[in-house]
Amino acid sequence: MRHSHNGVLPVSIRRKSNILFVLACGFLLAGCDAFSPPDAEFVVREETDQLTSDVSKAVEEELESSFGNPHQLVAWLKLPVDFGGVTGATEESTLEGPLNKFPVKFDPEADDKFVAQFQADDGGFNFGESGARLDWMTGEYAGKSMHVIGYDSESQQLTTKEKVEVPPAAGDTFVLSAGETLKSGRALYMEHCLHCHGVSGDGNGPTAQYLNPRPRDYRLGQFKFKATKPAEKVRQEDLGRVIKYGIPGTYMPSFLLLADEDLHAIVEYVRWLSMRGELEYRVDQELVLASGLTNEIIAERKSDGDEDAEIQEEVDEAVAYMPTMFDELGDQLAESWLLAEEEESLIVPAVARVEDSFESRARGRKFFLEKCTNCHGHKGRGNGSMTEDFQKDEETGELYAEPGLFDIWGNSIKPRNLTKGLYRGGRRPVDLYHRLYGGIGPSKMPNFATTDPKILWDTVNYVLHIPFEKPGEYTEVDKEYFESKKKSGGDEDKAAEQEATPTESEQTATGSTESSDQG
Amino acid sequence: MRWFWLTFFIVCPIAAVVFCVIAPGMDWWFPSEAGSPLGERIDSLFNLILYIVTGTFIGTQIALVYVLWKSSKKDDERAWFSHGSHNLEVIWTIVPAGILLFIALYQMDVWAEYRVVSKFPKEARKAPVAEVMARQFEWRIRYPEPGRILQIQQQPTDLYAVNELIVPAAKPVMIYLKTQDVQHSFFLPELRVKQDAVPGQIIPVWFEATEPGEYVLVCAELCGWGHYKMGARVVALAEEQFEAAMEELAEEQSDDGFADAGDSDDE
Ligand SMILES: [Cu+2]
Repeated sequence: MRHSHNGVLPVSIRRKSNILFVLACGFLLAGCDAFSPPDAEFVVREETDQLTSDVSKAVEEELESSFGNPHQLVAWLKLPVDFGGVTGATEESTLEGPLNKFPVKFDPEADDKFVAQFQADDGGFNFGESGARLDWMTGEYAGKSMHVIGYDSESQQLTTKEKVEVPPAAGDTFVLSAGETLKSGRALYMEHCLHCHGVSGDGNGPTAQYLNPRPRDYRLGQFKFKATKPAEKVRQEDLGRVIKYGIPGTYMPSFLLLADEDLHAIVEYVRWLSMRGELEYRVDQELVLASGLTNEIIAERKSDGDEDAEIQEEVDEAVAYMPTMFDELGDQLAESWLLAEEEESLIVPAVARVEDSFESRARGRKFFLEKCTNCHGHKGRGNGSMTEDFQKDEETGELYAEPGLFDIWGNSIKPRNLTKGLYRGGRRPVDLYHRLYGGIGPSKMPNFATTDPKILWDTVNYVLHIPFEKPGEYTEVDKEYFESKKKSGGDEDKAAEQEATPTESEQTATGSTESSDQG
Repeated sequence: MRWFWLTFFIVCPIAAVVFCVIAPGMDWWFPSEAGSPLGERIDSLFNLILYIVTGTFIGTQIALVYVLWKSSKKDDERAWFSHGSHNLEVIWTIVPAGILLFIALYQMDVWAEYRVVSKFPKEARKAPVAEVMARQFEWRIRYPEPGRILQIQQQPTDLYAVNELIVPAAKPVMIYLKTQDVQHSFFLPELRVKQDAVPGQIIPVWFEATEPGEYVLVCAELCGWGHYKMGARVVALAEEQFEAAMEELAEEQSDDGFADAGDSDDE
């Protein structure tokens, strides 16, 4: 198939020479039909608001042209999102214009999509009253759209409402009903997710204020429960699992009954929202941290005697540079989200699970004592010493006002109480392995990617057994651990040792999943 | 005017009776056929009450029309006031009371079988299939490992699922119903089961799906803003398929991500 890169409409390839070229790479999707919610709007980040007005306006405009608004979505083809639609190309034909019929060939997987979407019960094809929209990607008509009103499966010819003098050349590519998936994702998101996660995916929908833990804000592009290596993004499958099975211990319920294609549409919409949010965040970071174009900084500079003209020049430059910045950051973003889907990003245990025996769990217990107790506590109750210390906010470099742990969204969080048998990211051994190996970046649980996988399995075995632990089961193990510690010097563990030694009254709670595990 | 009312009170009961007779055949307003033996008996109780009510309705309407008809002919006769008639009051107290008492006694064994644990089918009582934990806003399910008996306390070998309760078909099964937070209600409309889940209680519920298939499970107690999200399903499977499904669940739950990935490309 021939790809010429000169169409306005579908070009996800960056224009090389024309830096000021405004990204017209998206195409507008038809309006919201039945699901048009009243005044649904994407909210603007606080950081964007703090930028000086010309710059923040430029950011907002650029966001609008790359992503649209909730009523009028734009599919920015640069992003690795399945926007939906049936793709194909025209075939060689002897027909001459003016005509409205072209022989076509759909792309390999698009055939089924086409049939699923347009075949009527009687075997014929139905494109709706006004026809299905067809967007030309390449060739003579690139950037233009037509409306398909018929299809003959025998001759594989599409009939369009519009007649053209010059037939499209063989190999010209098109998308039929572009953005279908994104549109259906939007409708489903509005129905099922919006009231907690918000229109923009900022985790601030109308019901969010009643929830603890707070609903996820997607706009940092970060998710807690993923099967990819520490630095990588979340996979489609990871999000799909969370939506399908819910997150016990939080308000995220299971959406098991959703049809597969609906689930896929929601996942794609959430990824798209997340990319949109992350792009805004990154642009803001650049403009605030690198360029210092906030109202506050500018006012300071002015009072320090910087010339207005000089500042205005910087502002103009930033505004002019905006499309390119979006383009470049968009490329980086696209790459990182694409990479998450690659096989090499997935955490695959290097060895099979170590058999769950007391010996294995004892080794796991030792690892736990060494690495986990600061947060999870000596009994795994989530009450380690870190929960009482004041932690430093990495962004501001200052201590938080409250003691305890905070996630990257600034929410106060508690380390998991492992005696409850509630596992938010799933309870399969592989899920726990993923948590250990990959860490939980957003809540600052460290990763153990470099630890011997066998030890990780021992730890998984130990952690899975904590709810069923008998009092004093690990007394010997603990003693041995602390003695060997003592030998190797250091007495800071003494306090910990005392805490770890079981007392009569202390019994590990077993099997109480009822109590809701907040935090 | 009197003829209008006369016709009105004749036409209404006749139309009502006609609707009563043809409605079940046309599948109007009636719940579809019950998917469980006990559900059929509950339906027959429902029908019995419907017959009694229909009979009473027709009887009172006939009496009413008779009175209207009779008095419409005589303009000069004064009406007879029955107010304060001891005999009549005794009659219309005793007759409905008798009917209600009859219904109360007649439905007793169905009620007992549905609600009283000692009357549950023995095989259901012996081996509860799962614990169903309602919470805002989903159903969390805990099964015993195949070959084991479900314990009230969580076991290391238990299997977990959410929003899908798998049970064997064509045999009575029992679940333990619990709630993690507020009151919910376990409602299987096709199987005619509805039981509130009450905080702090473990409530045994039994049912039998006659045919293998999928049945709707919803929450029937307004439990919060996400009440509508509590749609789930009960899947009834033939015995051996049920066992296979449990094995599959057990296997999925012990997934260590190693075998299916083949040689790892881990660093
Ligand atoms: Cu409920």
